[in-house]
Amino acid sequence: MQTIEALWKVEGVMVVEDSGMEMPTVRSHSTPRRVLKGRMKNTSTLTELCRALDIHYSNMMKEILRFIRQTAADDWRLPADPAELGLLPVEGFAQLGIPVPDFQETDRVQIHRARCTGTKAFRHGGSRNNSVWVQTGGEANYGDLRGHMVARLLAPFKISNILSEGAAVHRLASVRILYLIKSGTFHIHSGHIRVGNWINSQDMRIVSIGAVIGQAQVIPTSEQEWIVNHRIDLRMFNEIY
Amino acid sequence: MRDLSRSISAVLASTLPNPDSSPYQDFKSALKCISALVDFTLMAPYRSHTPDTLSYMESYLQTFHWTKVIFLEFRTLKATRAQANGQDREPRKLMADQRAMEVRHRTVAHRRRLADQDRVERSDRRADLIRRENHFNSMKMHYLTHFASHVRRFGSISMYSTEIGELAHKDQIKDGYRRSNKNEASR
Repeated sequence: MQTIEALWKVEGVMVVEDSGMEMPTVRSHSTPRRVLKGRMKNTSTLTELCRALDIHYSNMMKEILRFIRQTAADDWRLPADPAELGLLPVEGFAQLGIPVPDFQETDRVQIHRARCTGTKAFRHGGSRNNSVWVQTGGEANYGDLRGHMVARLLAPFKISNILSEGAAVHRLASVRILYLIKSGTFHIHSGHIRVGNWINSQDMRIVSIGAVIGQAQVIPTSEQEWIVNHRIDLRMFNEIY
Repeated sequence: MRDLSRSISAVLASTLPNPDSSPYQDFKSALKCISALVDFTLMAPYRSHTPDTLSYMESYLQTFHWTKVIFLEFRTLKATRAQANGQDREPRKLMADQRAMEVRHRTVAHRRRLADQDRVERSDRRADLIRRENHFNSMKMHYLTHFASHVRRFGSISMYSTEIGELAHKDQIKDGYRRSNKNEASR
């Protein structure tokens, strides 16, 4: 547990010390700061990050461009030119610490540590990409999940827009969205939602790490299907029920 | 227990994904029963309740009471089990004697059929007895029915939790004792 005051910092754009520029930081009580840990080696550009994650570069570029189009146009927005994007410095990470406020508490948070190793083995086993909740829409979206989606965290990464005036750093995450079985409606008897892997490769998304709202628990029912246990967390139980 | 309750319904749902037709109703009832009880226990420690949350809890409890029959056969008390075993033993003895008398006049297939019939009768009798004697009438079950009315009268029950007092015995009280001169510590 940590006090929430220690974590109240602005999400997304931050000051880069090396640039010598200072951007005003806005205090926000709705978005405690997420923590990135475990820097991946040899991920200094998007090409290298794609190689480390075994993702096709064009897919990655397409998703980043889609993300840029969805974000508001301002001075710190990433360039929409793929050639310029490819030159920007990138840092990949293996762990994302997500502070999740306790249910009905105002001053306590729990840190969910979502790990992702890309294609590398985790402790001499298979690769590890934890499941996370991603907020991608309003309450009317995705059936009973109310705008939440379950995804596999592929890699959180920082990308510095050195072409902008303030050399803003964007903290993004590459996630693999899981397919909602029966349009995300609750199973009639057990009251659970089931998810599965997409058959095609159109499931990779780039989101701001602010959209990753916590770790999800999924229990396998078969090789490609999982049950989402929303009862593991009182907050999620209350939100999506 | 709390951690178990948070994952048990999902684990059950994953272990009983697509049952065959015969145990389908039983699995359905078991899942419904467990999920209802888990939902009730998850909502119970809310720090504030609204009429909506209380009505949800009442509906969960109702579902639990409707479907709990599926677990009744596992609620057998020792006394009931002993009674069922005793009931079994006497007819079995009688039947064995009777069979010994008739054994010369029957074929092997006939004898086997009779034995099967006996077994089915005995298990039916045992199931009847267990169903008659088993129940969920315990204090813990009864308290659940008062939850909503108590919240309406006294507010959220989490403030009456005894966990904090129990937790004090783990460190707080022991720390004090360790720092004392250990003479007449109970005074």
